[in-house]
Amino acid sequence: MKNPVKTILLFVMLHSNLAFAQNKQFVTSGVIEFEKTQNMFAIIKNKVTTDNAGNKAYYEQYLKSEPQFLTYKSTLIFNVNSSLFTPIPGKSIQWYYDAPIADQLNTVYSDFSRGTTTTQKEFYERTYLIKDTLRKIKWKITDETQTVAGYNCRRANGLVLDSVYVVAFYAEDIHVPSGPESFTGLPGIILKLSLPHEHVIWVATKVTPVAVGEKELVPPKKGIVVDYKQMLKVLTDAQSRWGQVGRYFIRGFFL
Amino acid sequence: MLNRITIIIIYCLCSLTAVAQVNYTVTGSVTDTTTKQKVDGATIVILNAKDSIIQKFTYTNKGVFKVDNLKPGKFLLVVTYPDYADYSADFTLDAAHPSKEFGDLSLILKARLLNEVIIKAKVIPIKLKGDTTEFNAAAYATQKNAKVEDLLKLLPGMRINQSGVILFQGEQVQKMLVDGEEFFGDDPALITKNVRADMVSKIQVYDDKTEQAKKSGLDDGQKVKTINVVLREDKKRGVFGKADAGMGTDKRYAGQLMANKFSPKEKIAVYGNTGNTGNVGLGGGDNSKYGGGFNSYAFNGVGIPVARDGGVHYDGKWNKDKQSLNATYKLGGLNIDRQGTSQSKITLPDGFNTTSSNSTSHSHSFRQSLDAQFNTKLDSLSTLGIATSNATSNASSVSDNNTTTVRGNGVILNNNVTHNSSDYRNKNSYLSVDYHRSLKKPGRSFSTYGDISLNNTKSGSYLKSDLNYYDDNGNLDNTHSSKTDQYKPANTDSRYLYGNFLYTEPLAKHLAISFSMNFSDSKNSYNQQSFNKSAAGAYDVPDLLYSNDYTTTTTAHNYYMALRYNSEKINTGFSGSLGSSKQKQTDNLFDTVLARKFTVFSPHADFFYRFSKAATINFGYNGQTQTPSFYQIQPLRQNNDLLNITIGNPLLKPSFSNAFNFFYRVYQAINDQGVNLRANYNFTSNAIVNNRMTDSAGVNTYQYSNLNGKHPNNWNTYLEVYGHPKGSKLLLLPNISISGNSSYNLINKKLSENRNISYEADLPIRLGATNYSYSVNITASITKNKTNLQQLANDYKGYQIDFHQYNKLPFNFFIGTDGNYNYSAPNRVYPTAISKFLLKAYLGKAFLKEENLKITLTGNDLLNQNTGYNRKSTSDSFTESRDMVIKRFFLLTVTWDFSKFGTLAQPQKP
Repeated sequence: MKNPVKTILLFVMLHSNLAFAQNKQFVTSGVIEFEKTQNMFAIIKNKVTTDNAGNKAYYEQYLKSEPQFLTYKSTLIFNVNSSLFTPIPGKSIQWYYDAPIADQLNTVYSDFSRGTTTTQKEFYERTYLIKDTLRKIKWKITDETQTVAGYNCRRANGLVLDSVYVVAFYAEDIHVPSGPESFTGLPGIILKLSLPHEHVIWVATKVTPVAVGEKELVPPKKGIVVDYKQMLKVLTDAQSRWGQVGRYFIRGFFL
Repeated sequence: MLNRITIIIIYCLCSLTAVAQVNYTVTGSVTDTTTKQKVDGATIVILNAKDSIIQKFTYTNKGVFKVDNLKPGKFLLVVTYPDYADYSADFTLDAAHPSKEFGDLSLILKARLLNEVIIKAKVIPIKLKGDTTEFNAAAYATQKNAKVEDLLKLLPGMRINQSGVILFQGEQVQKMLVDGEEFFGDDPALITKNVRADMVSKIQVYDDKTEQAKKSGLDDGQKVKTINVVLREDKKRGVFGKADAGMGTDKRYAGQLMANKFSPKEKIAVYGNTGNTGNVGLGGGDNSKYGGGFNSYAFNGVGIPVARDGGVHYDGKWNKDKQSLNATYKLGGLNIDRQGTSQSKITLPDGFNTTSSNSTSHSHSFRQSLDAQFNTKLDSLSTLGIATSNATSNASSVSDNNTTTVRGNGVILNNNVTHNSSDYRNKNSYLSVDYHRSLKKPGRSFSTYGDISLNNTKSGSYLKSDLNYYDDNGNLDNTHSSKTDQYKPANTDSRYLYGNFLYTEPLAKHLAISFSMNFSDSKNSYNQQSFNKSAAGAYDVPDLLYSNDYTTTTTAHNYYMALRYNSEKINTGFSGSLGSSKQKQTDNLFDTVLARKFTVFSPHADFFYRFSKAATINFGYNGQTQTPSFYQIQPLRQNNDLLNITIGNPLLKPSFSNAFNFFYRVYQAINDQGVNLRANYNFTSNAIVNNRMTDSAGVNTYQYSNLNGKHPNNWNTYLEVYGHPKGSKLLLLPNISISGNSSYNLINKKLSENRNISYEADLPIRLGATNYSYSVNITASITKNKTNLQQLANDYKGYQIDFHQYNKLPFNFFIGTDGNYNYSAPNRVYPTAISKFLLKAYLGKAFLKEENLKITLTGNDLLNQNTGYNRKSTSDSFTESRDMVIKRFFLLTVTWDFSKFGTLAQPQKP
């Protein structure tokens, strides 16, 4: 009896497995493929502000020549302690049609046991590494449900950055508080997430419950280390002269 | 050894708990009701009870759960598990109960789903944005087919008084907009009585600058309380309106039609209105705008009116919103019959005189106006705006007056019988051009503005008066008595020209400086002749003594500089303007010229600080040189009222007024409660006051002079607290207002000093839902009056109760009452109390699915207590009056509301 605690734990685990055998099995690790769909008509229209009416010509040009919806892929691997969201590079957008919300700028590592994140963010030609606590989102759960990728999901409405409205559907059977990009904090993994006013939506296309080892969940390392506050200052300083478009861009970069 | 360690550990734990915060925890277990088995992996979510925001969550392990590190507060526990119904329960953690033990919770399969809706998103009713108060319309329940007016009545701090004036936190709302655009000019009534409450997403209330301040960039410290009605996205395209027709006893009738077609880029609206029920309300805002003599023809609750008016409004944007037009045409006619008597006590240093008068009048007026504003963006940096306004009004009136003044000892002093018939024609036109250009550097801008206005008034009046004086014994004094029979044609022309330039330069990130220069030039000519009746019966004998022919010109220029710091927390500014004003008055009949020059100075400072999202504080100071008006220096020679004569004072100097204001407010969104505190203090140095000399014949002669040594002042504090009692939907809004003023003038060369302090407490209580609404408003007030000349201190006390009730009954019937009870206690001047109870009740039935066809029977003034009796006190007189007013009548009305709204191209947020 050199290690009584371990023994007791082992006993408890065995016991619980026996006693709850008929209970539902909950997924605690796996790989999710996400597809992000963005309404480019609406996104580019957001750039046409009263103080930057010049963008109107680009908007009209886009309406004539380019598709309304663009889709991008990304993956989220997770286990009970952490998750890693990695974008898969897709077709690039011409710079004059571009907006930060239309790009996949972030590689997000979330550590749920410590409540921290390591996010690698591309900001024009620079790379930043945000090390901070997990982003605070004010979530309210509802009793509306929907099936996404074969999982029963419950709807939650949230507010991020104090003003951006988020709608999420989280799987009640996957007990990991993760989700696409830096959207976390619900009692199940988010399989569908939309930012209605930003005109983007992420939907899980495939969920594969497999064991994921700690080696596969490695935080990104490259970039200038900052926290969220410093990141916001960098963005604000860089965009403040851009008027309304600048404010729109800051939000897009910061999300 | 082991004991020692144990002791140390226990000691450590004890000290830890003593030092660390209390660990608030929730524990419990979850069981399936049917199988009686513990449920593993059930989700436990702890929500804030107030806003249902997720605080913490966990999963059951072996069927048990424990959530720790919570903060004290009220919470909701929600247990979810796939295929099982949600379980919820509320609990509170506080110092006395740091942990909550739920025991065993039972989950039920969804097949036995509970109907209880556990989480309802609560709408936050009020938001404070900068100095804007924003009300979320969704938080206030209104009846079907309700109008903006009904919504406004529900908002904390908002009151609509009997004459339709909207007050917010005790201050009058002067301007109303729909989606930031003027709608039928800025007349509130056409929005409040027309736009449907269900179209409104938000009501924003803020202090706007005056038009003049906006155009000149010159901060004059004047605030225009403005309501902006923000429409819901899905109600911006559609057709809606209302038609009603009513017939009643006493030959009363009322009819109204309003129709509107809205689209995101265009609004078209028409209205027509006719009636003799006294609800003339519509178009009330125009009186101040077109000024002139029109005011005296307006309806103010006295007399019997017959009104007909109508209008058309259009506003639209096109060419990618680069151009916009906002135009309104209105016309209206109003006939009023008045009949009344009044009695006044006029204070003298050694007693008082009593004046009583009988008067009847009939007036008719008709007006038309066309206003239009066109804005265009010349390029991405510059805008041009052109506004024009044209109005004509015609009016005529016939009035008879019989006034008798009696001395304090009861002996008659004088008697004047007048008959006056006049007609009046006014034309007014206005044109302004406004150009604004932003320069390349952000914040740097240049703007220029100019306007011209022309005004012509022609009038003619026949005056017959028979004035008799009596001596100390009450015998007719023939030497002073006079008869007048004159024709008085008059013509007034005025031209006003104004222009300014404004340049703003950013000095630093939050700091900007502005320079401005403006000039104005005005010319007025006033020609009024008096003709006596010749022996032949024609009015062709000129009476120069009572004829006037003046030309006045004023040229002014001002230089202005302002510094403004504007950051998220602080917005503060200092500015000052210095200029001169040259006045010249030429009397063309007597060939005299009066020329004067004044230096005009006006400093301004304001400071705004935001403590947090919910609490802000404002300070402001404004100083202003006020130059004497021409007619204070040299008044018109008139004989319309020979018992009240004004003479000029060429020695008048400008006065200087100072105004300080303070405003603090805080609002807690979660509990929907808040506090508003306002204070104002104004005083004038070198004030121009109106003095009175009453001679032994009872003739009052008025003259203005500068007051030395004393500073007339007034102040006001207003405190409002509002909120809901615990666990109730009732809204309580108690408020207290204390105000005071000191005024001075000379009465028969003696300084009369008059001080007033009023205390008013008001308790409004409201409760409402979609099928009922109740409100009660109790106001009590005391006014203390101190004066050095009068023997009669005129303190008065009174209270007022307003109540409102509305209930929906079965079978689509509805019933409602509106009551107003007024009580003024007797005082030393008036030994009897006045109490008046005006009660209005209605009963009706709604038809159709949307309840948009209604038949209503209304009983107005059921107790027939609207007697037209009024009391009025000024610093040197008390007046009681009785006027003919609309009394009890019943009206049967058919109302049809119609609305059809299009669907959105893009769905709203979910």
